[in-house]
Amino acid sequence: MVVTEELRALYGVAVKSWRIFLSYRLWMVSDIMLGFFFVGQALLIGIGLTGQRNSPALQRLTGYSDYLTFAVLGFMVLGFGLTFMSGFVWSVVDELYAGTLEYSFASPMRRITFFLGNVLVRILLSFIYMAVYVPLFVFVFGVRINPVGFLKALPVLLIGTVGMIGFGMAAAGIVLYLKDPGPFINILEMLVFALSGAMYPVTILPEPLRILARAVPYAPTSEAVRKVVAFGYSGSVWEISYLLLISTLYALLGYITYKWSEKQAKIVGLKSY
Amino acid sequence: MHAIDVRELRKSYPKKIPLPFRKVEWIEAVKGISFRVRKGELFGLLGPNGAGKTTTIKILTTLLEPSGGSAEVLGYDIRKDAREIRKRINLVAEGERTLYWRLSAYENLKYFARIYYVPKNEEKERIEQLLRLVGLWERRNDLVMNYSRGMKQRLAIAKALINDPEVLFLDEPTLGLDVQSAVFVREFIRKLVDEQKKTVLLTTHYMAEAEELCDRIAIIDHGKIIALDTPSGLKRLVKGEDAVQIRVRDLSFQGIKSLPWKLVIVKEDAERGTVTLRGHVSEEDLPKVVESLVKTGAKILSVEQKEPTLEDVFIKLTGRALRD
Repeated sequence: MVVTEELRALYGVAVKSWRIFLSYRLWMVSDIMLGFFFVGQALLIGIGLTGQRNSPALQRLTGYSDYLTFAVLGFMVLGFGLTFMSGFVWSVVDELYAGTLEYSFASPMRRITFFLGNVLVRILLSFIYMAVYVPLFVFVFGVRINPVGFLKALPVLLIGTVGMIGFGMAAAGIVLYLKDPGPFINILEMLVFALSGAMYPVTILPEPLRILARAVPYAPTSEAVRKVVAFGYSGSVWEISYLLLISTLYALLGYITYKWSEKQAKIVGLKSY
Repeated sequence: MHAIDVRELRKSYPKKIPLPFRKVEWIEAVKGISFRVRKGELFGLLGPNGAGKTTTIKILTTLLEPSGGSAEVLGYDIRKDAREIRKRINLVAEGERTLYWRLSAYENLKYFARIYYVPKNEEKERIEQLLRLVGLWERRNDLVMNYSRGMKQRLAIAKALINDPEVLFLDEPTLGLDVQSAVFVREFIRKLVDEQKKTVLLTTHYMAEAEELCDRIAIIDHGKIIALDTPSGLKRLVKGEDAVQIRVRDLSFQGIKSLPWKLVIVKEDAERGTVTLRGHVSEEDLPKVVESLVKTGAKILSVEQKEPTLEDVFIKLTGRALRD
């Protein structure tokens, strides 16, 4: 009974979130175009700098010679990973600014249900976008994706997902506590993007940034996924083990941060309105 | 058992967000208030803006943690049994941006039905019943953004009834509404108590509203309850004292301070340049008051003797007016 009630609440949040998203019709179009231009630019920058699509330097650093395939895989991991952060963070911020958050929080539904309902919609959107991107990338840019390697990478992506959910929960916890969370989220998103290793291997970053990149779960997920696609599980033991460790740590950190900030929010109030 | 039992409730807010190594000053918004609300009672918290009314409601609806004291709603402790309380109560918060404007009225209620665990087989019927009750059934598929303020408030009330709550918390339910909508909301609230036997705790800074609606009223000022009784009981505090209302133009604010009678400004009409003063002045003193006001340069427009109201109670207790 309790589980059924909570599942219905989860469904309710997801439907509400989906309908609100659909009410801004141009969002979906702009989201899809953004991803398409992102990869297009990656190709053009790569070709512009090296004069060709394949890079021996990239091959030495990552095992991938085709920069576009490298960037597309990174982009897909980042896009998927960001759904959790966006789902957690924007669900709080949008409703804080709109003034509706308190009404939802005053209901008996568990707060995690509220977040997960929003995340579900983002995951669905992420899959829709991927379904549009992949054929586009293949036909327009000639990206080569090995389906077997791709399937092998899915469990690794799942491990990374645990860490990325933890990261999203920690971010949502901080957002809940801030008076004006907008600038914090902008900085966080830029930081995640820069340190995700989506566009370039993190090994080329200066040491402090490299350490930072490996300390958030996005780059380790991208690295592990790419490694598994290219070399299988046996060639990626170190990357998978590290991802397991960091994902576990982020899951714990996310839970603790969120619980702490939820408690704080009950002391200082929801600040953003 | 009381529906609401509040004992020495306190709440302090930090002036700035508390961070490690930051010394934070705390402001006490609620300073040890106690009251009990009986089941089926319409109880009002009356006070000016910033008196601590909304904070009290947020604590009782488990949105905020108290800094001290205790409270029970329907026998459940607000600290330990938050989810049990939330299942049995609902809330109309202050302001109009509490619903999803980009959804229709029907979609809004469907969302709230689900997060309040309304059984699936009852959902459809209950939504229809509530939308009909607040007169929005014909407009159920319109987006809330196209509703008037009054319609939004009626929908907020329908939302607050979605889980058939035993206790309803209404925070300034008629604030900003036009007269017709405010009348509808007041009559509706009274019916909820009289016909459906709901317990209602409402906050307001409209004295007439509190007087007309509430079975009992707690007057709250600067985070403290300064009086608690039935409307007639409260008015007995000023029984036998003559309330006088004087409307003047060109009033010198310094001038009235020097008068030996306690007169407070209850209304200012900037457009017409008039000010309405109110206070307790005996029949013998009234000509002297008028004469003194004229001496300060004020033009007297009208002088009326009034039945004592809750405004007079508030003036007597605080020395200030509780302005609408």
